Amino acid sequence: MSVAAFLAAGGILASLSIVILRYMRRPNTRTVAISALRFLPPLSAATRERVRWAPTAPLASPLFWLRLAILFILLAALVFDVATWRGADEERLGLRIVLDRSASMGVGSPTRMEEAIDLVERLTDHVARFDGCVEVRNVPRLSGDETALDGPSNEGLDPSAILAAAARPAAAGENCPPTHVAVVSDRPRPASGLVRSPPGIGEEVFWFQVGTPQPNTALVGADLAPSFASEGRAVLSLRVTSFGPSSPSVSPVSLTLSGPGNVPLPPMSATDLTVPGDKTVSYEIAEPGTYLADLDESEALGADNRLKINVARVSAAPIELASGFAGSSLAMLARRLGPQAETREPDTLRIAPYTSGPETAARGIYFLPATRSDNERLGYFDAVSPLLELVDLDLFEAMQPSGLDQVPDGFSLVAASSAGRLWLAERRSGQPAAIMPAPPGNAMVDLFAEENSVWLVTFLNAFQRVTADRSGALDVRAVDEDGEEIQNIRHESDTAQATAASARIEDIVPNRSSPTEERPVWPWLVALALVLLLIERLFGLATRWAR
Amino acid sequence: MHDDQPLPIDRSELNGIRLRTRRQFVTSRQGAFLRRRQGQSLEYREHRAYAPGDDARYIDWRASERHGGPTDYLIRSFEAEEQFSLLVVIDDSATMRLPDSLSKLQVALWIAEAMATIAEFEKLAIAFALTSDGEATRFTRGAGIEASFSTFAKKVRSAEQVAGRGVEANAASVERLPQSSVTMLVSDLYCEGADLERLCGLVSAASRGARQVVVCELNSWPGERTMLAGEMIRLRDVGDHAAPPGEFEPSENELLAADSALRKHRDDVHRRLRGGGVVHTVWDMPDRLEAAVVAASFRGWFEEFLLASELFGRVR
Repeated sequence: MSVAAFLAAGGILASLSIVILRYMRRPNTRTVAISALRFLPPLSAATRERVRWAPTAPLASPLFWLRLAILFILLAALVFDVATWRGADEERLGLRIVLDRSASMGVGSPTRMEEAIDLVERLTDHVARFDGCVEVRNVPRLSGDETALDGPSNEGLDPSAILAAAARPAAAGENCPPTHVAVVSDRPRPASGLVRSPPGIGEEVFWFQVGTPQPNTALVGADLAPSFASEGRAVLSLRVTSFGPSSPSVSPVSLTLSGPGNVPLPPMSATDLTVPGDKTVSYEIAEPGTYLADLDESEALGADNRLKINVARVSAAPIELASGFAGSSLAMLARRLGPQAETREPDTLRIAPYTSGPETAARGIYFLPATRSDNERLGYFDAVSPLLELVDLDLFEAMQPSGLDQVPDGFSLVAASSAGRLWLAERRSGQPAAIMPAPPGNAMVDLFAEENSVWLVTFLNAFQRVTADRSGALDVRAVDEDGEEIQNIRHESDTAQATAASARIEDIVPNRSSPTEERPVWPWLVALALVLLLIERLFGLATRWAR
Repeated sequence: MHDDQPLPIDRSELNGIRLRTRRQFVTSRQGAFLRRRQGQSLEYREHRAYAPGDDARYIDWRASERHGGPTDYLIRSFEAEEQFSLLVVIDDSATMRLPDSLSKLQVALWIAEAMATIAEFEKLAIAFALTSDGEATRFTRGAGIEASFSTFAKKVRSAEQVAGRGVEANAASVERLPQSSVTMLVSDLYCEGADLERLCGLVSAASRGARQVVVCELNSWPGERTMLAGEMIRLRDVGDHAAPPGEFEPSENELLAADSALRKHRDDVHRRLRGGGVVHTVWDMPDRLEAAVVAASFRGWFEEFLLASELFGRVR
């Protein structure tokens, strides 16, 4: 209750108290007219209290009851904003059908969509036998009449959208408030806890799965990695996943990648795409630009067969060197490893001293403080870590780097001193990064000198490690035959999911329910109070005139 | 006056009362509708003092010389029979407008209305008058009675109570009342002094010439006594009689003193009104003055009143 409502309620209660007290205060003295007045002797003066308080309500006064009623009605208007109206018990069947018309519904012969529409019609006929109503909700929505039955969409569909459509509360003024919800989809029913019906509907959601498992091969993504074999080139890997059993005779599959200028590129090695599971087909590319990957398969989902891949950069990742290293031998080394970054881009590599701030969240190589520790020995080390590949651990220990007391969040320890201080660490998830000892000596030291070879090997290991994934330079989108982007297509590819037991149409029977709705009542209460106030005033004036 | 209580006895009931009264009261007079009075016949009745309006031819000069004063003349009067005419005179003084719950004036109107209905049944002439103005309605009979009473009742109800108005202020008006064979005076007789003298004069004048007067006294004291007993009260002025200021709590002794004073007054009035041709009836109103109680009591009392008035009877 707000402060204003609290004050108003207090005012009304105070008024109520005043009215009651006013009616309780009753004079003890009556004024009388006696026709035998002239025969009365001198009378004794009154000695009793002249006012008495009678706790009885003034039952005979209509004005009192009118005023009391007005106060109570105003109080009720403050307390009761809305009232829930419960209708008479009735048997009703309102079926909300959530129809999945995502891209995968176009698979099969007849298509799953045709099966779904046939099922919707049977559901409609079934509901009609109970004089019920049906509301069809298409997901994804149709642009025109949302309740129409149309072919499958070209889009993918997040499974949560189906669940949301099923659980959406009935809108006010809806023609067919649902008592039951049925989902018609080619997906199996999710875990029970995820499937909810709209509030107020106790029935479970009836899940009808249509279609039979169909093998499908999908282009699910692309990765970019530097080519160590050919300088200035990169390797574009296309990830292909096959769902369902292998059946090359039924589903011959071929993959083509055409580069800028629509030039087809040969794969670096032949790959059998009919083998179930995940496969990678790699292509060496020499120039940035837009590449189009096209998977050719028959009798399967076609919407997940095309990827438009925009490669921003083929050359080595740009390097952003901290300003403190400008003009140093490290700067010269960095120039040999990659171009200097003008602006920070997704695949930019940062080389800088380690700080505990957010700067280390970017991809990069971060150096420990340049000061040396005192006679610390190498403690823990990960012998199989690529960062320590070809590193002489004795010489690494001889660097006596100044370590960190704690391993930063996201990093995993590769090597540490015997005292547990971090000497070498890497971050694999998210933006890859490495923490390693600072360059030895002064800024102009020859990093290629023999005494610095351990540091150089470690640095190159780190550089290779953090630049192995160049996906930041890629923009991969699923597109249709016309080049239009398709959303959420990754949710559609697994058309080989097993068919679970569907709900039975016969189980959908009318509910005996008492429909409830909330209606605002305070305006009616205030209007009633005003009418009563008018009557009270008219009655009061009439009484006064009558006197 | 805001009382507008309907007569608590309906027409059929009134007719029943009339018929029962006829059966119970036996009279030796001639004819049911003929009343004896002074008039023009050869049957000598008496000598009486000259009054304005008398025919000068009937002045008995010899008797006047012998028995009358220097300015008084005696008139020879004769027996006569005349048609029954009833004049209902209502005292509308201030005390008659009480009690507030149902005034004696309203009760007087009930009596007048009941008499009008009976007169209609009996095909008698009837007129109505107030003591305050001395202007009576015309004597009407039959179907005209209802309209005549209605006009009169409207006049009574619309009359504002003015201090000093009534018998006290309009004694002269009593003299202007028309003559009738029977005059019925409805009053509480709570007046004193000169006012009482004038009221007695009215009765005397109405009974002159062997006419009949029925005095119907309405005594509301039992109910008013109940109103005062055990209560803390503030008194209101009644007419030109100022009430003592302050708040009172009448004791039983004081109420007994009031009983005594009223009884003495009424005994005095009764003695004054006693005379030939005067029938005096008293209705002691119930000790609860609520309208419903008074109306119920009225129904029982009226039949007794009609029988006691000796107005209607069967000839032996």
